[in-house]
Amino acid sequence: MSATDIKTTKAQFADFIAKGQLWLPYEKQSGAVVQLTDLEIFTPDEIDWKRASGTGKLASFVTFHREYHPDFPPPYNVSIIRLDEGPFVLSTLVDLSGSHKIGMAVAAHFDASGRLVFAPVANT
Amino acid sequence: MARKSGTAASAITGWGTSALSRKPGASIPQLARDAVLAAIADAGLDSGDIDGLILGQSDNLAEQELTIAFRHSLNLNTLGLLVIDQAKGTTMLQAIQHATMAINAGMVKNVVCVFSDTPIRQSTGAGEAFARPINIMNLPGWERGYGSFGAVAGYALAAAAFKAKYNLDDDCFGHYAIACRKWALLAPSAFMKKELTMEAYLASKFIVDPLRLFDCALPVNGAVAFVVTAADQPSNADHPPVYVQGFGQGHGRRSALSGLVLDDTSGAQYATDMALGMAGLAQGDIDICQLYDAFSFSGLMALEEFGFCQPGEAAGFVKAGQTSPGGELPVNTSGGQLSGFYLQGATPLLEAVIQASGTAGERQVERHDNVFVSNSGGCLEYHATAILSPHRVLQ
Repeated sequence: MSATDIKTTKAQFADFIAKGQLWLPYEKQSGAVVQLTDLEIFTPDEIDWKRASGTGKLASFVTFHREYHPDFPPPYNVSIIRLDEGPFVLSTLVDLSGSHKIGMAVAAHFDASGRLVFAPVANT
Repeated sequence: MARKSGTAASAITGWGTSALSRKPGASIPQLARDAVLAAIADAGLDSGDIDGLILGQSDNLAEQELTIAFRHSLNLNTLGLLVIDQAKGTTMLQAIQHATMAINAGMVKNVVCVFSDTPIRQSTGAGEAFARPINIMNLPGWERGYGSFGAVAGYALAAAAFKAKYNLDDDCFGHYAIACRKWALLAPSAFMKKELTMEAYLASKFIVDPLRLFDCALPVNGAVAFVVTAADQPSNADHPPVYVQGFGQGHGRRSALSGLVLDDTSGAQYATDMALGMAGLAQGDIDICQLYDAFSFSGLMALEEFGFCQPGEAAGFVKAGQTSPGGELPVNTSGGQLSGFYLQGATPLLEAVIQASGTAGERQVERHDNVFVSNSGGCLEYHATAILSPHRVLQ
């Protein structure tokens, strides 16, 4: 089998996202959850995938006031969510009707463009 | 054989800069040449005395602009060491470390290390030069999908998590920016020469909330070079040499951002322990810190991660004036990267050398026996450190 036939763990994660699903990697040997930033440490046969609960806590939240690209007119937010299973993910917070606070509970869904986004649990 | 702790590993005998500018102009090799010639002259040497050349390459560049062929623009003899270093923000301290190692291995005697960058160009301002999506998730294209552009995105996310973790006030980063500006007012090389009040700080626009304009580094076009020699080699310079008493690196699994989110640490402490251990010193022995502070938040985080303040206490330490002129631990005494100028790791290294040599003029810190300098890159993921001193042997 050539190297190009082997799907990397990163590509496996991207495939789930493309299908509108959030799955998380677990190390087969120890059963420990793997940070998404660490996927390339493992080959696909070292990983079990499990569907994520989709819930987590807001770990950081920033608001862009400067336009870097016409696709992203400011203001818009970029957020970090710590999923209840442990991994963190960079995303954006949607449905912000009230105030946001770091530490608040959030839940995942996929928006119309297929992006993984999070909303405050109180709004879902 | 291990070197005895408290005995210098090498000496920095000359340093120099090109013209520094906020406007586009000379190319990276032209600026590098100016800085190299200035540093060689400052060391009291001739170009023919140089037998090692380390080129610090900026990671902003789409293609390599400072290649090893740069040597042909200098009138050098045969070189025993010629290499490009590129390790994000840690490049310049790594260059000094690599020069020191090559000298102590007996390869070379007089090594020039140079860093040159031109973030400001005809087609792009400095903001654009640093406005690529930053890699946080290590997943291809992920950050682009959320408009997470620029180094500022990663640092703002870390700053927001830091602020929340310690329940800090909205002006917490402002006190750091103001302290640096106080030093800049004393430094001829600094670009920001107007006093900064908290009112003016809070009125400055957000780039990425919680970071405002005055929380961000001030990039310039320019080059800085240093001559590194053996510690026991007599210096020809007309100023005292500066001795490298210790150095370290620490590239942990986590950046400051992921460390804050996961309640884990970066490699900063590792890099500090290595440098302090080599010098036989502790944080309490350090008289001055020159920190890589591309964002105000980074300065506060560095004070804590390098062990000069307890976790959560740096903001209060800075607010109390302890890093300002007259404070207990002067930090970034030429204005740092916020108010002085931003040439990546060359900025803190140059000021560390100047302070350790006792040639800082009006801003000279009286007690400058042990100067700590840091370089950091990749949202505080990569760290390099050094301890500089006017003393070849520490008491």
